[in-house]
Amino acid sequence: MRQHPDILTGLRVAVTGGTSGLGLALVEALHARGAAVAFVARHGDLVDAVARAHPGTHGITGDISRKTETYSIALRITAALGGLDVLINNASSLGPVPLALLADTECEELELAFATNLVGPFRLTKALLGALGGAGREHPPALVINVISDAAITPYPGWGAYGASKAALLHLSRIWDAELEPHSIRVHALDPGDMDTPLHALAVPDADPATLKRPAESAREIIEVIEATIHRTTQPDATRKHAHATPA
Amino acid sequence: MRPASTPTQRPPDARLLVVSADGTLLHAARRRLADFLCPGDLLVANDAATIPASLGGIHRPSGESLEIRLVGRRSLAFDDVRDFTAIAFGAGDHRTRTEDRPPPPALRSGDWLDLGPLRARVVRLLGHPRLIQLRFAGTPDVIWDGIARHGKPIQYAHVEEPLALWDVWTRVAAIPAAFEPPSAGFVLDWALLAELSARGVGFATLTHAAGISSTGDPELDAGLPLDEPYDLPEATVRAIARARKGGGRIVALGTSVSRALEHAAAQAGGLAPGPGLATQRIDANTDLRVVDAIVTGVHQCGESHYELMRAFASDVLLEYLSAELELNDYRLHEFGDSVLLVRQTPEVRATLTRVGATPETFCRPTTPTPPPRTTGGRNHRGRVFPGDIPLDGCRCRAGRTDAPTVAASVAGISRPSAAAPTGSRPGAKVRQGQPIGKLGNPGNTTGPHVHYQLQAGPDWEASDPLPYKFSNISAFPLLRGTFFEAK
Repeated sequence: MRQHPDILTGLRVAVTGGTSGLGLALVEALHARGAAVAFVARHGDLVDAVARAHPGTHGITGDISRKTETYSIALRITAALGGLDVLINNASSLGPVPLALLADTECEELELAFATNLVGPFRLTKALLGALGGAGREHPPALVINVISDAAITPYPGWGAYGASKAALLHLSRIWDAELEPHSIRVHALDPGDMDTPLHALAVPDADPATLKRPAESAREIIEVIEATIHRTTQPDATRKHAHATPA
Repeated sequence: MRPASTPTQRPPDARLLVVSADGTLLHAARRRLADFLCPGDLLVANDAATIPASLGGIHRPSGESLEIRLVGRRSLAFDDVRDFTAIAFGAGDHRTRTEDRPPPPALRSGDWLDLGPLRARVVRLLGHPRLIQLRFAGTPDVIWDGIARHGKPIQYAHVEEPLALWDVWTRVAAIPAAFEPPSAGFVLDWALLAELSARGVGFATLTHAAGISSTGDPELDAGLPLDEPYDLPEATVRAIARARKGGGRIVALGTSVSRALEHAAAQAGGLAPGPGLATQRIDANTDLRVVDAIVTGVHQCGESHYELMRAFASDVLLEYLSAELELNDYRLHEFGDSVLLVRQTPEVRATLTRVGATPETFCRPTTPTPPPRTTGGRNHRGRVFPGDIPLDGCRCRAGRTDAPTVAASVAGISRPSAAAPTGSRPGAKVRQGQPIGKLGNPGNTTGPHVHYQLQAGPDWEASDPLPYKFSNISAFPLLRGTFFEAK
């Protein structure tokens, strides 16, 4: 049987929140599989460290919750990758830390959770929709993955800001998927499960890590979804042409 | 015409002047663009995102402020981001007209410039004190980061409000490649894309590094457009082949799309996917190979974009078009109104050629002469040649009749005696609002116009003219199908 090249080779993927937890695991796994990866995170020193550890990846320092940074982040992503096939909106905010009952949640804390978990992904996706649309025409489909949580569905007390913002992200994903499907852009919301990540440690400081999923395992599952989505609609003989630039 | 001074990409009142293949002109709401495209047509847009290419900074040797505008690059490759062609301005910003900007400090090869977080060296001057080859220090990631953080969109004095990237990125902006927005693409939104799709009109993109429209310096402006790299996706080449096979038209959304497609098509072997560098100018002498129609802004005689339109239509028609835009107060510049110009058929071009015309005849500021509004006078029975304007179907290719009613068919009568329309005869008494006949296209007409005359006697050359007034002159009356009354 003929050996097929890895379908991820050269796939242009951007990951937000790429320096810790699930985001870092995604950057590592995608990079290992030969994808062209750009990642975004807030802290420049961490960004540089991750980029150095994964030569060829493009680290972008920026805060997706800030409107004024959206386009500069989008520009850096598409400049670095020469386009975009997959956007993973992974960066998340827990809202109040420690977790608080909704009635004890300050308005500003709720707004910050929505800025990071809903409005940020909306803005960045919108700014990158031209690139994703181009990828959808060239080798369909392009894909947006919005990382959500079971808190988007189950009303866990104490998870109000986080859960409500993720529920909104879930619904936004469904509507956008329906609207963009004719343009060969799919929008999926995925729940990676309870993982042993810094975010989870902030939420549940006394959780036993042994009971939690490894981020790498969730990353693998997400990558399986990417592969399945691309496989489903890719012609068997289609050759994918991706990033045209050589990594610096 | 007046400049559009508000950075709104899709103002609800944006207008579109449609020029169909037979020289017909029609005013429309620009949001109705899809109505003028036929099933099987392919709309091709430039998906270049606009680089924030205006970089303020300091000329290190002199300590003076300057503004650098990046204007050219060899390729669109991510890592080919060290070397740029650039134009330098002295202190100040976009609020001063480029023509009035002070010159930059004297630049010499080897000079260092501090541009925010970026450092760049003047490699050499390119034959003009303001045109330089520039090289940034750092890795591609560092350079892109500096441009993204420090740069601002290039802008001009007609828009006072500082522009943000979201003002200048089109809805399909993908790869940062353009130095000024490919503004014909401002018409696009996702609702229009869905509408095109529902209508059976294809949509495709290419990436073209649209350059600057003006430097404020006549010598530099004469050299525009500079060479511009582009990238033509496989899917777009396939879509073009499919559309042409099915008899559809290739409609370029913007001059940059025309330039890229025509450059690619002129290469040995014809239109092929991949990168290219457009070096040619498109003008009256260009034989278009791919593009059947163009959607573009409102351009004035003398601009390179106006020159490009001469590949699509005769000078006589363009002169008429300019007068029509002027008379109807169309808005200029990147946030202004638009024109859909369908390439004129050879027959129409042959008809619309003025004997003895030279480019100079037409390349001058248009001074429209609207019909006189009113002249007093006495009642009169006269010989009149107005006409009604029949609306007929979209000028689709043969066999297509499923498009909605869009185009007014207007043609001229060269002189009253040449061909009186059916239903009128010299000396006939007519009343206001009475259609006298459909306008045909007899005689050696030079464009979609009509001559009419009211006179006191039967000899049209010897008789005194008579006063009259129009019942509606908000636009060229004959284009709008309005009537005039004779008093």
